[in-house]
Amino acid sequence: MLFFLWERGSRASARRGEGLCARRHRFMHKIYEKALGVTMSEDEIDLQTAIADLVERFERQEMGIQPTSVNVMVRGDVVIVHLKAVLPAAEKHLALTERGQDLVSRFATMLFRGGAQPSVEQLIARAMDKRVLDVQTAISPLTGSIVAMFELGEKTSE
Amino acid sequence: MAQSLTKGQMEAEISKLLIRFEKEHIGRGPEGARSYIVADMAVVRLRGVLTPAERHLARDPNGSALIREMRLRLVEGSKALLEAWVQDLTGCRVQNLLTDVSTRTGEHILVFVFDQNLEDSFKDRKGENS
Repeated sequence: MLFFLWERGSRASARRGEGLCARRHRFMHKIYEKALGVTMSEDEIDLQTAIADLVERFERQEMGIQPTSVNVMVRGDVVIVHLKAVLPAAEKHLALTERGQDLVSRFATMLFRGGAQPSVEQLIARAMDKRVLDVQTAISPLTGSIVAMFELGEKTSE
Repeated sequence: MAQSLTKGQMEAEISKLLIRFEKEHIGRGPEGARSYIVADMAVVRLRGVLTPAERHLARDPNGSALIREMRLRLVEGSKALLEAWVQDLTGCRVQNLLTDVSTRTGEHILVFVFDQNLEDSFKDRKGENS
């Protein structure tokens, strides 16, 4: 059953030109809906999938990293992006010491803030039709996982 | 292996090895590599080691310093492994490894200092063959 859902969703996603993480994101939504009985509109799922797709592309093309998964959640005026990637061997080794962990965190934060953030912010602002007031990022130097929380403000069209 | 290669072939093998190291251990492969064996040293120039996001970050002085620190610390952490790989390939013990990164040109220079004159070993072999 799960395989059938994945296959069907995956083919539809591929037609829309979405990446693997976006397809996985769309698929996971179907599972959550079935398991938790929570329903989301197609627009909400499309928006979250588009953001996941953009982040995945950015990580691959600009940072040279292939993320293992990108999850996006929209709850009211907050958008949360959770990105998981496998750390290269040298970074894993560096993260064994406290000083190394600090360096990996600072480096990943500055790269994300300088590169990915403006593009993702723009997309979120356009899609939600709201200004992005603030962005907070948390990075785990042990797993390479990044969580970014975008806080939305008033409508841009007003 | 070192015994069967010419100087040019050895330089090419060192370049390949460094590209493999960058890809597998640093996580980002360079655009190209060139190696030179000079006396008891092997000088390796890796071109295009910065990702587009790093190039963007390098425009800021703080970002540039952070990239340089990160790159050098990554190599430092994997120094023992890299030295072992080069030692296996050349048959010479690596006495010292000097390295630096230019965030302006995206070039990474590595200098391996060996315990013997590697270049001379190729000259000696040439003399034996002729």
